[in-house]
Amino acid sequence: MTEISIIICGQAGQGIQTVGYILAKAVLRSGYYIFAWQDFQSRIRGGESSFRLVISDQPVSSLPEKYDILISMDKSNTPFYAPLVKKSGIIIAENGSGENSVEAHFRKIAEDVGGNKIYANASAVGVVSGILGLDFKKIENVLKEEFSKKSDEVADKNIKVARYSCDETVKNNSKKFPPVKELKNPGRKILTGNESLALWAIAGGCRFMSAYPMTPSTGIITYLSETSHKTGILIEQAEDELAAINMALGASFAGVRSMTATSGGGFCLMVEGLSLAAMTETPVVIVLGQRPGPATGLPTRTEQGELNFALHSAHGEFPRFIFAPSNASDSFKIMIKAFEMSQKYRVPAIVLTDQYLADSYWTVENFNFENIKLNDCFSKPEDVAGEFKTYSITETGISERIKPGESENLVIADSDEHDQYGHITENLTIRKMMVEKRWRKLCLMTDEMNVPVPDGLYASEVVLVSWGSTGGIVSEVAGILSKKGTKTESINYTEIWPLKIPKEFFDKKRKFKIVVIENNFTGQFAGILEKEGVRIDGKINKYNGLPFTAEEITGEVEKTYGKN
Amino acid sequence: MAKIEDYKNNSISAWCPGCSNFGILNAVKNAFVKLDNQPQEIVIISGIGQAPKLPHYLKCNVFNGLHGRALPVATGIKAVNPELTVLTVCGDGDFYGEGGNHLLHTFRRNPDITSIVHNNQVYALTKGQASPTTELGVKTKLQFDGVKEEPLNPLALAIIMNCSFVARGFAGDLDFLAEIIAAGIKHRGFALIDIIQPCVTFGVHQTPWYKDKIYRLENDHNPGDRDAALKKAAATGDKIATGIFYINNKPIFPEKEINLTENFGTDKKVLTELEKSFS
Ligand SMILES: Cc1ncc(C[n+]2csc(CCOP(=O)(O)OP(=O)(O)O)c2C)c(N)n1
Ligand code: SF4
Repeated sequence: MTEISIIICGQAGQGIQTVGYILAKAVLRSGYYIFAWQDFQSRIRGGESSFRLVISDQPVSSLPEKYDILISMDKSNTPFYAPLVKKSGIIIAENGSGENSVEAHFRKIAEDVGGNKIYANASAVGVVSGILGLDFKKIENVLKEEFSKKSDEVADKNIKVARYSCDETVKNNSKKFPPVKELKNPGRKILTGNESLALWAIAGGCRFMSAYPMTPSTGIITYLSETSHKTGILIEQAEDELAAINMALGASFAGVRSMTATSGGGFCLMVEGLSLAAMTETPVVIVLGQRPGPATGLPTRTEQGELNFALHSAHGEFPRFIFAPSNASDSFKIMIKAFEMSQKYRVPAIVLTDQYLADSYWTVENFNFENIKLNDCFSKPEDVAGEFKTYSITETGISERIKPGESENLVIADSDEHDQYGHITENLTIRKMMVEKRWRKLCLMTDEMNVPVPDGLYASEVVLVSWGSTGGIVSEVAGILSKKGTKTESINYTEIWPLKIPKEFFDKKRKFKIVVIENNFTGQFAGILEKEGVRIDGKINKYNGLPFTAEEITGEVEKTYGKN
Repeated sequence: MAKIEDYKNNSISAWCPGCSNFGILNAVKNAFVKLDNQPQEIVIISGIGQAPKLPHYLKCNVFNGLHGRALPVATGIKAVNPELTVLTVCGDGDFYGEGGNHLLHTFRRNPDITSIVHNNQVYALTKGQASPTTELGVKTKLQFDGVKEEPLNPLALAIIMNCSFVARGFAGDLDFLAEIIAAGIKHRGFALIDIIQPCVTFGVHQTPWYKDKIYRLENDHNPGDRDAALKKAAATGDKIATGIFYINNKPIFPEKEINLTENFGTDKKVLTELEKSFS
């Protein structure tokens, strides 16, 4: 297995993301999997930030503890990130010194060869390309694609600086890295979690999105806006999250699939609207990009602290869906399912993400658009018998929908308790019927949920349970532990609520230990399982704002259950 | 031709006997008759309070949402289906208090929506507290020693914000009110119609008190004259003007009027094109 890990660091505003992105794309085209995570501070200029790139010939979704290469675009950043470099690794910096260091004068080369310091990023790309022995043609193509949007001259200068830096590195570099050989490129793609959520929302038939900017979910509406001239989706930046969710509900009532996205603080403002969605039985998809709280917390860091909030938010009692994709591939299935389920059952669907999922670049094998099948959940107005009842009492609890204005049938929705026609009522017999109607959906909703249970549960010693974005890391850990002799399986929940639990979990005599791994302090999912009667044998929690690494989880599990 | 009976529904009203809301309900129906609007073309979005119960008492599509949130719901509906005639009906507490931020930004956004505000200068449904438009010094059960905050002037605020259509009506002059509402609906852009709506249960002033103070804006008032409109809106003293204060034709939201409710599904060609940028 080939795996190379790189940190590109620098101050905010120095364009390290561009360096990382260009390298990532070039490597992808050379047939590798990549995973990249961005770590930054809540500021526009200065500070310490990094782009962590993992290149592998196997699928990756986690970061290592230590890295092979550090490229520092900023003197002040070098000492901060240097401890993350392996003993066998190298540090490339303008102030590089010591045996593992390569001195690289990004800015000087940029000026000498490109005529401007702004090409320093291209120089860094060139240096890394030289060290890794990449096919420079791939770099050149990506640079061309990225910079010819500005102008051909800018693209040419970037390429010139990068090529020079690459050639010089190949000539002078004494510390040889095994070159990254060209593999067959099966046409994989890379995209961020947010881009994937947006793309799959388009695939899920979304026609309207309103949102108020909040990290880490802003990327979704940004992508939908950038592509709206092609997709025809209408997007609107709302004045606040109250407006955002209410606009989305208006659009949905009118007859289109709609969504909104926010983070915890904005979701606080949305919960009144969540309750409105439930009472009016208006479908809506809400992406809740979690970040460490309470309050403003750590705006640019990662955490899974809002599961309980998503589950219990809003006044009144009502059923809801909660999903949490683990990467940019399964967000495909999840986003489409969120739209489909919300439409079918006329309930809100919440999609939990976090900075680790939203801002990371993930490799996707293929997009499979051919397999998308959407069900139009609206009835034809001519099929409506008699006066239309927005909230007809049915066996399943699901009432048919039509669009206002489409026929003489009037559509009446009410946030007050209402009769079947949608008119306000204080008839308490009707109230009881309506509560029961809304809850009757739960049974079928639960049947829709899938939890991937591995066959080898009983044969295993440890079962690692996670949800959402930690899934990829945890499944890597299961592999590592099994290889080391502790039979380990992992279950990652992406379809969280209504909750389905494998029956093996309730077996009082089961031998395997259940360890729940979460990026939060209290172990929220573990708590939910416990409340349902599952014995939890261990919890591993991280809450400093950073994602887990496979090594640290492996270490923790081994400490208690390991063989050594 | 539409007739007033077309909008009749048989719900039992929860308004107090003698409330001026009944008159406004009639004026709304008459405006629809004037415009020959069919019930199915109309959507009324309302908030919570006494006034927002209005759409339950006539025939049309209804979204009776949350206190203060009618405007964003209306904006979402109109944005995806421009063929609908979209109105909001709310009280002054709902519209100027709880929903104040939405109002500010709706001035800016300018969707083609008509907003009717039953301004009774009181929170009626919660039994008589001061609202954002209650006059200084008015005593209520809660503001027992009198209101200390200055009242909001919705018309002046709207004109300052270049609101597309700004008018005031009076629940005691229903023919004129119906005309104003019809003009507001016909206007392309956001129309704010503030209606003086005396509350027989909690109100300070009743209809007779207003009668000799209210006047219709003179025929020589030019709604295109912003300064004149502002002067009229900000006027203090004994006389209260009603009518169309200000009209400002400007681009509406959304820029392109497309009925998005008609196309369902995913365009796989578009997806395939988008996919390319990720390889
Ligand atoms: C979020 C929220 N806060 C408070 C209320 C309680 N509430 C209901 S109606 C109302 C005020 C109604 O006054 P107004 O909007 O002027 O309408 P009116 O009843 O006078 O017609 C209030 C405060 C509510 N329903 N929702
Ligand atoms: S409380 Fe006032 S405004 Fe409300 S219905 Fe009664 S009279 Fe009308």
